[in-house]
Amino acid sequence: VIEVDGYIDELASCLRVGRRERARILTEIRDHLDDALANEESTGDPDVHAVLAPALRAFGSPTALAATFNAAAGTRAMRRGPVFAFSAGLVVLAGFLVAGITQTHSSTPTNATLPTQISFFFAVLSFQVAMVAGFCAGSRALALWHNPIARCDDRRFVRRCSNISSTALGLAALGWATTMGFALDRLTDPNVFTLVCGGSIMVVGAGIAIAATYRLQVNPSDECEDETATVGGLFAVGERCIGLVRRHPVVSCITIAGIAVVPAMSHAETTLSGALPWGLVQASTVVLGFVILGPSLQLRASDEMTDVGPNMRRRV
Amino acid sequence: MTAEQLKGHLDPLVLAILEQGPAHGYAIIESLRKRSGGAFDLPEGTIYPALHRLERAGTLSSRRETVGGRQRRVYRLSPKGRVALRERRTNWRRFSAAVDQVLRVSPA
Repeated sequence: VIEVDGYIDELASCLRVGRRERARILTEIRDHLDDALANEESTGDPDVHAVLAPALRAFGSPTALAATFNAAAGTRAMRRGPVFAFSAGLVVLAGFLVAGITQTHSSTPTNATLPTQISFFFAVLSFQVAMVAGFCAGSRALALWHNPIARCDDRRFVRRCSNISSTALGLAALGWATTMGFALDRLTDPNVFTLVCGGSIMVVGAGIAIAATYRLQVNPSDECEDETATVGGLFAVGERCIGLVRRHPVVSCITIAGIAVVPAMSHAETTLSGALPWGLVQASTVVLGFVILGPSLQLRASDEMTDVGPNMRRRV
Repeated sequence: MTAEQLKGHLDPLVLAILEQGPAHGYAIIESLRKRSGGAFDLPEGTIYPALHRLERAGTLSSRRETVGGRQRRVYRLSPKGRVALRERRTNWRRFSAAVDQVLRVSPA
């Protein structure tokens, strides 16, 4: 029947779900319309068109029906973002350890060269950005864990944070791989095999995470504003922390920058006078990162956003 | 009664229908209509997403079966669904009793 085919075709073109789910939805809708037709025929109504018109109307427009399925599929895809980013983080860390712990270090420590320091510094910085963005993505996804349909704003936010996290992780992997290359001269008896293996694990792991998170189909354009986000309990601890940072941005920023100075200085592997500049650069970068990335990660309110409670932001 | 008014109550209604036995989507909608005396004439567009959601939540299970000579996806209540339905029933009784008590009081 032409009407049914047209409806199914339009629905198929609007659906943005997995292949198996798409097939299931379309079959089920067609089955339902067949049942409606068979039921009316059994009661003696011979006019197929008169039967199908109300049956199709009852389903609503294909766009609206598809939007409901898309929003649910988008919410599930949204939850995968932080999982990808976190798994990739573990892989990168594993690669780093594989390369690092298998090397024999000289008994008399030598100062790192400037290129080694710079590449290591950027790798650590990128890893920190990856962790913060990953935390933001994970925190929101956890807060919405029991919600079958998340708002499009939340889906978009989690994907954005996951993308930032995986990209920063990729930069960190590249930075560490470069550092390993630079460090070859400083090692007395470098194990080139494990260095290459560790570097490859890091770069490939991060590359897969980048590809996977950028491909996530969270369907943010399918508005489902009727479903409100529910936040509560242990799942919302991260969101509360973010809320705290948003309410006290200056204090939070100074505290984090202060804490960040310590690892930056110890990583520099130089004397205090050599390490101090790195500590100061790290502290300044935290402040700069907070200013630049803050609105994207919703760690500080942008001009067009107003905070109306945890996870209940509205555009003004 | 519109779908808007039923929001939040659709899940237990579907679970209650399936408590009687397995059914496919069309039969569930017909059953809802009949058992509510025609009051719950819900648009099909709300039932199918709800069925998929409930299945993902583990309260329903489904598989393709032959019904009346045709292949249909048949839904059945899972043990988790029975527990959920029991809880929703208890909550509903408490809620409706409270609303009833408030509404029953006439102004002096």
